[in-house]
Amino acid sequence: MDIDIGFNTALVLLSVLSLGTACGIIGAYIMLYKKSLVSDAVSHATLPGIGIGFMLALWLGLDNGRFLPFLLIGAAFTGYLAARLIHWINSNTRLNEDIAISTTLAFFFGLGIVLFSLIQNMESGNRSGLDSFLLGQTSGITYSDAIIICVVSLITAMLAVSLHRHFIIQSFDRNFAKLYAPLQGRLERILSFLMLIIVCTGLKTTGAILILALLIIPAASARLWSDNNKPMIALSAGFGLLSALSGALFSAGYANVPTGASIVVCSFIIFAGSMALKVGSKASISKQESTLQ
Amino acid sequence: MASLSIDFEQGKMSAIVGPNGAGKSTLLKACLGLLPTQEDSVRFYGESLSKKRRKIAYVPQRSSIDWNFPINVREVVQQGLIKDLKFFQMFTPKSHKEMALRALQKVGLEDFSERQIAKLSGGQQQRMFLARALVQSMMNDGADIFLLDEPFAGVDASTEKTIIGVLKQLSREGKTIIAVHHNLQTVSEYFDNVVLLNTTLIANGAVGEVFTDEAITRTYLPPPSLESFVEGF
Repeated sequence: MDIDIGFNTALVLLSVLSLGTACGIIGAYIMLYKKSLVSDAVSHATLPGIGIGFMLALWLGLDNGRFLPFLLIGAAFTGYLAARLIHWINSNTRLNEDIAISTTLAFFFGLGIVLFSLIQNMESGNRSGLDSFLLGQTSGITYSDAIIICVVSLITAMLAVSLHRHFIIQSFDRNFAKLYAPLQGRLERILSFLMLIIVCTGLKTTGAILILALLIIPAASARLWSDNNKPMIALSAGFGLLSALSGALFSAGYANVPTGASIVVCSFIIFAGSMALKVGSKASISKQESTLQ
Repeated sequence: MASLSIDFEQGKMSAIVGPNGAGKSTLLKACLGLLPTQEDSVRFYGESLSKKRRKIAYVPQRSSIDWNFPINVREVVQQGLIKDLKFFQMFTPKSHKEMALRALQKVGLEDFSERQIAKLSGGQQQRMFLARALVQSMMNDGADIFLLDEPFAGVDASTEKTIIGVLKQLSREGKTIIAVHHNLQTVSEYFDNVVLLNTTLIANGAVGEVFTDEAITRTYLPPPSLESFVEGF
């Protein structure tokens, strides 16, 4: 593995690091809210938005279609639509949330693939690079991309952490929060919004399909180590950073390995290690007979 | 429950008693605004719920909680101070910690403050939620109405003693206690007033006056209709 650390590479690495950390933090709150499957659907649902953004940009003659603001706005838009659709199905029909999630995920992902194929068939579009939104490719990240990723990651992570106590109260005891917390109804929406932002930010790095790994696996590993929310979230941030860093380095060393995929493998190695060390030991099991009374 | 009107007496301990499915918890949740009710039909001191939330402390049923949640006892108790929490407040003020510890002392849990909540017994878990309600009354302009959903369900004898001791103390300080209760034997020993409920209001008043054998029978006997007779099989 030959890694050339120039200024640009260092900056890209820094952006991946901050993305991993932010994902670790926001993913931990998503885990506490038991919303990991919703975020999976949302991340898949960004694909059709990317396709629509690409077509719009092409139609307007911008950048041969690869006009990043359009792609990201499109991604955020369809991601948001998917989240609303899940919420709507769940609260207005007799169907459960898992059905709402799997239906929505399948539809949006399928639509995304259809749009990507249509784009491939179009002669004029410069489609190369669009694939990196599926599985992620750090080599496509430019200097300005890296700076944007750093700043957005930092801001979303700080917002999430500063709402820590409110998130904990609402995810622990929804009725209590509903009774007393100011802006309680909006809190869950704020978390979804932060999740959507971080998913879109990570699209170029990890891709739409595998960003979930960076959101949920570090949080899951951290939960195995800690029985308390604050150390758990700190650990989750650390694991996110570590998986993102090692995954990015690995994919930088082997040119054809998508970054998203190698990040997933790295984060799962951490998860497997945590399982091996913690499962079976008493510390990881906090469920107790008395709670089943 | 379609419609019913109940007044609770200020500064007294009232029990809500009735068979399963009588609507006891529903009544409590409606009082708290957790269920849709007709607008402004729930009033505290003659004012609407939204204006008086700070005045009301709530102790939920233990079964509604995910005990595996990564949180310790003190942090749960501190939640009672949420009304004094600013929106972007990252750090816990020292005063919040002290109040939580004081409340834990009152319910005899001071040695368990840093424990993860699943590692408590059922009775200790119930006392923890009582401590959270106590903390709500310690705030400036804090709670003086306590709503409890089956506070004695599945707890050991010593916990029951602790809880009733704390509630009686609160009552002596002039606080209003309203509890869903299921043990008919202890109603007259624990409470001043009683509400007998079986989808409709059967009786409401001082224990000595309305808690009669005849009223209890009427509460616990199913209404004599063919449908309920058939359902019995």
